[in-house]
Amino acid sequence: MTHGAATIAIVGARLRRELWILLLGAAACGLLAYVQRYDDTLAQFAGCLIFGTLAGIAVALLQRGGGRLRELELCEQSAPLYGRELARATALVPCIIVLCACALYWTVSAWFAYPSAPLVALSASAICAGTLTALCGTLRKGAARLLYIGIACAPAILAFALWEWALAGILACAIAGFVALRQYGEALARYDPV
Amino acid sequence: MALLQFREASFVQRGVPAIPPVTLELDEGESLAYACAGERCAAIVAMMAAGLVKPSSGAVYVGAFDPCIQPVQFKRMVGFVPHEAVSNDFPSFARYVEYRAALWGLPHAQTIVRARALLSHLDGVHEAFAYPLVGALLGDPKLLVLDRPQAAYAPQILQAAGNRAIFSTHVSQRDADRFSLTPVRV
Repeated sequence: MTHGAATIAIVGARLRRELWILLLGAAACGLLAYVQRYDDTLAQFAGCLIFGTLAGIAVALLQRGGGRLRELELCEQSAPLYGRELARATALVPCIIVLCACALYWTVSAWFAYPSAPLVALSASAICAGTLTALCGTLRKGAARLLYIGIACAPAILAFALWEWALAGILACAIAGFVALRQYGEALARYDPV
Repeated sequence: MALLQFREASFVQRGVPAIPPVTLELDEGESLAYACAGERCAAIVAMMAAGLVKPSSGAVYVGAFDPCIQPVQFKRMVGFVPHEAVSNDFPSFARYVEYRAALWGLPHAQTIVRARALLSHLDGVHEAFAYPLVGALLGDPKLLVLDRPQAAYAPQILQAAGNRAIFSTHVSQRDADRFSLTPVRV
């Protein structure tokens, strides 16, 4: 048995619980793309970054909000897994949800203007980096949480600033996402579910 | 050496002491029903024994493993049953067992057979409470930690646990006595 099985089990169990949020987030982003009717790719890109980042922050906060996933969380935390393994598995869930929302946004937008592949990749990487940063905030309280949520908007701003150099933007977002994931893993290992 | 050791273990949350220093020892095969000052205290002490919460000062050991240094080895020795009943996220008992087996790295088929055998010991226990107990025992832990278990289910719990050490937390001495005074396990 590998740790991949634990990851699949955690992602599957959480996604089953979050199915309505996935559908709601994806539908909201698709609807926004339809309402905007932008024929400009750059405007579509900005819309995707804004709505995707907001959806990512909301989904990340819901992962540990109001004890919704309390039983699953206690079960996962009592399992013989390292903090980084647990962090990777639990971080996958909000990332999958926002990627679905992002995919639906671009699919609907494609009816009005054909999207540029590098911009689609850049928006996906920026939204995931923002979601992972917001996820770090869920393990903190008060001003520290607000600070992380503020920082979660940074990858979207960075991605928009670097839209002409999409590859550099993707690389920057990938690094930001990696750092956020490491930070989340370390915080999760010290986290007390009280 | 004792299987479970609390050495002046306390917990402080946001500068406020939530748990006063606790010192206790539990050997293999023994049972201890520990009375706490309230629900919150009982939950934190149980989670400390299961390695989910690290003590702010002092130490907790299970089989000489420290949860701050060897969390995985520590958790392999402990089966934790939370107070919260299992939710209906899982469509069937088999799916729940598969989920637990994947987290603990256990073989699926054998684990399901073992889970059904364990479940047969829990006749009369509501499935919302029986499933977490079966899940906790799947990894064959040496210590079973129960957070505020229902005294009414004590005979079935003790029977399912077999000769494992049991550490349970309770909200009052009366609850602890009710749980520990149940008939001796089979």
